[in-house]
Amino acid sequence: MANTDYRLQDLSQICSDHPTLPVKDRRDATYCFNCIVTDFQAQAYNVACRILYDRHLAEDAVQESLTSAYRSFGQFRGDNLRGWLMRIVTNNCRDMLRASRSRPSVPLDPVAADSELEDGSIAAAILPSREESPEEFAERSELRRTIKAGLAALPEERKMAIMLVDVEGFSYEEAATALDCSVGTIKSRISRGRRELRDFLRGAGELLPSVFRQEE
Amino acid sequence: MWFFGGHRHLNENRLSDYVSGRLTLADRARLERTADECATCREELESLQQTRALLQALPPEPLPRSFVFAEAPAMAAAEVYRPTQVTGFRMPGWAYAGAAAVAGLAVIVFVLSGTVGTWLPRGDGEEFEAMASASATEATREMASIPRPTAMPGAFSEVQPAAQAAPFFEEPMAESQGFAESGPEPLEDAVGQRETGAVAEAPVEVEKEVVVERIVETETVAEPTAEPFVAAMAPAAAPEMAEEPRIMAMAEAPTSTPAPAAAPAQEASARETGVEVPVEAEVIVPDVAGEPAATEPTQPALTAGADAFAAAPAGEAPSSAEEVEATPSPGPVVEGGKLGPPALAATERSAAALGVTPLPPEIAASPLPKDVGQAAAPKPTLAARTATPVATKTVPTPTVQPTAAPGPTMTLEAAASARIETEAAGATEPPGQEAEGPGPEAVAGVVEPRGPAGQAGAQSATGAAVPTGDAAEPGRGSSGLPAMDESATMEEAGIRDQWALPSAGNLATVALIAVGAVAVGVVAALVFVRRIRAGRKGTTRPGTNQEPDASLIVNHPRLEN
Repeated sequence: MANTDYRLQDLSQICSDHPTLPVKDRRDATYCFNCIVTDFQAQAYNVACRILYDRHLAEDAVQESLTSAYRSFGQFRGDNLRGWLMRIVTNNCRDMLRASRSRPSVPLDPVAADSELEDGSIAAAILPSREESPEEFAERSELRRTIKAGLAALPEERKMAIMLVDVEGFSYEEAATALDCSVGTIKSRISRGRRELRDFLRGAGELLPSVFRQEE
Repeated sequence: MWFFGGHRHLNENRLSDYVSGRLTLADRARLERTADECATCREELESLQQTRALLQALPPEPLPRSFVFAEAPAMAAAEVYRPTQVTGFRMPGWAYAGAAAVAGLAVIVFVLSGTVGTWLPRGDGEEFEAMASASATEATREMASIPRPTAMPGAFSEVQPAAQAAPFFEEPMAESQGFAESGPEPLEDAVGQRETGAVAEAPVEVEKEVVVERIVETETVAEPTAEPFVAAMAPAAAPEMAEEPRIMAMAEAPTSTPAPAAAPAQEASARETGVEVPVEAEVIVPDVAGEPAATEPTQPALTAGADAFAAAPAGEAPSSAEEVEATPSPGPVVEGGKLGPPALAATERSAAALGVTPLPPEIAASPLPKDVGQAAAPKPTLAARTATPVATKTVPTPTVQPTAAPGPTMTLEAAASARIETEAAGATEPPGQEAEGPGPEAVAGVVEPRGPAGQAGAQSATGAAVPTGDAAEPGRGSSGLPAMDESATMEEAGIRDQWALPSAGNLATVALIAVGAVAVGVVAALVFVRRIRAGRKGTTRPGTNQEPDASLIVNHPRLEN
């Protein structure tokens, strides 16, 4: 979605599915901020979840990031809106991650630690399709955990680059904008990240598809 | 790049770009050809593609809720209107903390180091004179409180028994601890006594001269107390030396010389003034040879103190007294019961506080300068200096040895002066060298050591190189007392006393205080400059303290409703 899709032609334009929240960028272009939120909130939340590994923290991070984006929208230059927005999200996630490391917390509810299956919404999202056997469901779940573990084992910069490009589908330029680095740096990080993640998945070959299993 | 058998494998970066779809069509076709030819490259490419596929297959996290704003987020004034920040020089936080820490440390060290005076030059001229005057006054008062001897030459016929001398001796010794601590008192007392001729010299007969000094038991005598002692000796000196508050050596008077008639007159005048002054005691030495005792005309009370002290040293009084009593003494002796012990006590205190030895006669003959510490003080001859340590030996067995010829009497003042001279200038000489230059007293047998050590010293002084045990002990003076400064001359010692350099700790304290002050000053200056710059240009840092944009919230018709 191009940036022009979020612009308001005039102030009288009313969005249909959400309250119109007009904002102006540096070039005096008017946008509906709620349109931007509607389109990018899922990605922002996913990015926050994969960085923070905590849904509640990710929710707070996204809420704070969107509020900050609204307040500082006047600094937006009008290009690469997603990268600019994800940059705010990743910066907020880094700050929260740093704060959580300095002040570690333990959840009061022990069940919440594995809320992926306890939470109804989450369980519904990962429910296997009806064509999938229980063994396949278990294998897929285990593969997902392994991939998550592989991502968690990566350095933070490479993990973010892999996550933005391979998981979230960002382009190199958008990822470079989001991570505040050059495109070459993103390429290097992605290349090394993929190789390291592949090696990690090879180490857990029994849980991987046959293509990753070691040939005897 | 990998090279196996001449085949150049595909670069991982190119493989990654291929997987990401960032290669051109030509590069993409070339890479696919290479991958078809090489199984390793193909496997590598497939593994990367599978990895990416797995990553893309990760299910998205479902949104817990919608983040769409129902209304415009509150643009809180506190959040939007941030205080203006200066983009120029910013004082780092550690600078304030460091400056505060240094300043605090400097203050703590300054407080803990004592007072300001600890790092000021010690022994200032006026301060020194005040101390000397106070000590002199104190000593003079003590000596003035001693009952004046009523006997004239010939009246001193008995040696002070040790049993009587000891009590007198112990009490002043106990008081002597506060001798140096006595507060400053007006100097007029001592001066007045001198002017009124209070210090009279009664003629006494000396059968045999024995100059004895007790080795001060308390070796922890402060060095500056030497000067007050010297000043304290002044009132007891001859009247003609009253203006010179220094030790007057009494050994200049020849033995067997009748006392001058002026002495009783002076004494009488002193009585008229109502001032009780210390009166000389007399060194009474038993005449072993049976010769009639000679009369020492000008012997001050200090001499008696020294003699009585020799007769009854503290802790060794019984033996000494017995030996003295056992020695026939036909001539007059000190009137011990009243005069001897107090004078002895005062002398002893002074000697103990000073740690000096009697001055040789030739030193006593020449008037000392006003200040001993000054460079103008004459140095004693080698003989005098070497003889002094011999005379300072006091041992429990006061064996009186006959002298070949009567010599001049060495008073305690003279011994003290000589001790000062010896300690300051000549103490570096080993005992053997001291014996090379026997003084006239030693040669003439005037100075009679008591006990083995003293005899050894006497032998050493007379040329027999017998080392004195205590004198050879390191860290001590030749007399066994704590050495003042073995390597310094008297002039140097005087200079040092007057202008002692601050210690290293004091210098460090001053340096630390200076550093702290400089640090605080620098920080204050930087803060001042910063405030000035902030007042001139209120530049803002973009993004953090932007000016509130009133048009940020557009007047939307829906929002207006």
